[in-house]
Amino acid sequence: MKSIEGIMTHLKRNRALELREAKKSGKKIVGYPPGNWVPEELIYAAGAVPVCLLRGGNPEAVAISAAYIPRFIDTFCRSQIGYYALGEDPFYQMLDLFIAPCTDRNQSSIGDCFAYFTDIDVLHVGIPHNKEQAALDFYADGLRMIIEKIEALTGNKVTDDKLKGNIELYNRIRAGLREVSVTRKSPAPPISGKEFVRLNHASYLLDPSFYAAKLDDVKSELSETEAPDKSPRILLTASTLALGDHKVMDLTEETGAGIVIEEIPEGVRNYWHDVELDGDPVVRLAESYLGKKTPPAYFKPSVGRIDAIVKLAEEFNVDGILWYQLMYRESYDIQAFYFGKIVKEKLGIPFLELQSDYDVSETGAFRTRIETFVEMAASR
Amino acid sequence: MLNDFLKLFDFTQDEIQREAPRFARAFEICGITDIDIERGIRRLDEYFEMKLKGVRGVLAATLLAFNSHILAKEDGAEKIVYGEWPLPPQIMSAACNVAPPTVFLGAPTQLINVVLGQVFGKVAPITSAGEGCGQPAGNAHCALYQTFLGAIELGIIPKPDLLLASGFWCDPPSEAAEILHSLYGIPILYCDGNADSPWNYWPKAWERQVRYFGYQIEKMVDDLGDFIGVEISDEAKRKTIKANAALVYNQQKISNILAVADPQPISHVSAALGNWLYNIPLSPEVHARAVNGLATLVDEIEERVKKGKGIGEKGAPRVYFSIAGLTDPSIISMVEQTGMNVTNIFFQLYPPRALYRTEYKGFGHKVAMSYQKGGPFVGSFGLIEFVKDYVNMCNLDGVIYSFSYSCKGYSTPAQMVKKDVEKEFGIPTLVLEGDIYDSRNYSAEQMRTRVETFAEILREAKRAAA
Repeated sequence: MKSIEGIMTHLKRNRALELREAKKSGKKIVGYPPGNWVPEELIYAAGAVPVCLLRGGNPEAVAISAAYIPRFIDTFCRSQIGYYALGEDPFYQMLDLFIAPCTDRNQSSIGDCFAYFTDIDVLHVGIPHNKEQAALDFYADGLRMIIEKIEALTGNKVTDDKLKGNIELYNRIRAGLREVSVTRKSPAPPISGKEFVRLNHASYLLDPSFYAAKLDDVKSELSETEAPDKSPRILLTASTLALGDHKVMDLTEETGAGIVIEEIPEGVRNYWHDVELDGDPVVRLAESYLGKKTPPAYFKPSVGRIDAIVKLAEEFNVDGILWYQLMYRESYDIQAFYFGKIVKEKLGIPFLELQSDYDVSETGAFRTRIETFVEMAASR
Repeated sequence: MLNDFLKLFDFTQDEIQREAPRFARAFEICGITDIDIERGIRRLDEYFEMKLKGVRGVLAATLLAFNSHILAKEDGAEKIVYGEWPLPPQIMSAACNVAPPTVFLGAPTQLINVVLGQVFGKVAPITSAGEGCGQPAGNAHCALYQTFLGAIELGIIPKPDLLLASGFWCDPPSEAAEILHSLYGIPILYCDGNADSPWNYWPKAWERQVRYFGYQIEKMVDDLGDFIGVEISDEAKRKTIKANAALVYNQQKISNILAVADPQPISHVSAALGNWLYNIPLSPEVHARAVNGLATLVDEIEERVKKGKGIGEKGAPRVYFSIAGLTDPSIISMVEQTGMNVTNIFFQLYPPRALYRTEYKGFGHKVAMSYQKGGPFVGSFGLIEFVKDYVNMCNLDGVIYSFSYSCKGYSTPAQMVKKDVEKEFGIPTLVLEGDIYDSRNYSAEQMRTRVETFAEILREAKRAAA
């Protein structure tokens, strides 16, 4: 799609330069990992610029990370210090602060590596593993810690008005992504899964006002797009789907199958829920970013994630579920063990589990398995 | 054969008569045959200092606790509750103080590791069975929880009626509980928490974490009380803190003696035995036996130190070894055989700066606070600081940071420990991949060449310095 290519080209050519200029003029750049735990609204409200570190898929970054962290950590998490050490991605080199959500031991390791091996200031923020009131309070307390830290960094006060203004802007982005995503309920989806994921990725890095305007272009292009029916229809679920980690999407779509919906806790912005605008905005952010979120596999209990995937599979009328996870992310590995059985019982559709270490040698084996899986899904 | 085995642990004749049928039944369930018992006797002789009364006493307590877990159902338990490490042991111990006799609360896997692993060398098939229950080999799942699930799957321990799972330090306890829930519908109580203490903060306590984790502990105690049908009183909580402290106190004494002794007075295979007991709710009789055993062991080790006796040479290079080898005593034994003085293992020795008093009053907050003092429990920074404190406390010549490969809390800071220790103290640090609960991939023989070379480097450095 032209409008999406335009967004991606802008991201590739201009965004790093824009941020360099912003930094020169005194703006502070705040990094964070994907997972939808750090509301960008807070960062913009303090006058800083958020940058999500969501690069992945490069075996070189994985290889270089071995000098810093042992192998048996989730591949994406391990590779983050690798991207920093490679020095090739400008976003990793311009941070004034890194906010490290301690979700599970894998994501926590990113913050530990940045705290120890770089000069970047790191704020660890614990994430609770359920949605009870005590957990919501704990998470809201963490959001206030973030505000305090960025206020000290920028010298700007975060007011309710500034926060609400940014929430409104991000609600517009969430609504736009939602609108684009649900077009794929159609038997002839006008946008491919890979295009949607790339569009979603860009939302983590681009200026939100610019991005919101561009989303309108995407919607308008979609309304004029005529596409053929796609079959079989695949739901892609992943522990993390990083910017640059396109292998599984490419291999699936090359077979002619369509990825029509995703459930991906890390790497895809959660666009299903807006943040309410009344009341205390920090509490409202906590309710949305934690309370309404589909629980990741490391939540306890994590059964909500299973229910959410089953619901999406039904709503988007999928023929198969592709479960993609990164090596050593044990919570997803364990969930896959019982989820495969649930898929068979509740949906009666094929289920394929793939594990990646961002290794090029995986491609051949992945291709064979995906082709077989797609054939099974097509023959339903 | 069984009687010969039991005689090794100073059981009285009456006790042997009473306990022998229980041991026979427990061993039958675990598949321990006469040949295994024979091997067990040999391994006890090879790895444990059985001539020390204290070692025999602590092992006896361990064996009795093991039996009570294996036979819980046959003993008439109607409700069985398990909560494994690192769940604060005080939660179940407090419940034990008021629970009716038909309720059994336990933490079976460390006992399985010591008895079926260290003593009989037969834990691997159980770990393997756990790999078949959603924690496949090769994906760095925690072998403690593979063994836990394997033991349930093989019928070695009875299926629980309730699981207590924690998530404040690592992820596998809750994940394994979810598997058991999916397989057998066993309900779960979760004790949430986090290791989000700011970098450079330890040994100070991270208030927000003490509050949240403390609340979670209290909530679990209340919910557990509801499940067993008894209110867990303040008195029961006070009693358990005291009882736990008695074990910890004696074990700390042992750790402190070894930290400064020269030569090393006793192998850590024997010296560490008490460590594995204070995470397990023990009956009053077994608890008393364990405390007595440890107190005796303290006296016996002090006696050796006074006489200058030890298992190695005086003046040997002093080294910290970070892994415990809970299922396989041959790993620590191998390190000690290279002629180094292993001053301490794992993270059981508490640095003085972690031993401050706080104002917290409630049970949950007190227990949560004790975890804040334990460096590794607050994150990588605390772990690194613990090891650095050991360098000074134990006057180390070198550090072997052997991390359990599947344990992300211990593996993440491995290179950080090496870098900091070498830079700040100028002593060599060897980083070794290992596994505390599973020696199938990381055996003593596989590690020997690197450890022997390291020992030689330390000896040369000492000679050069002299």
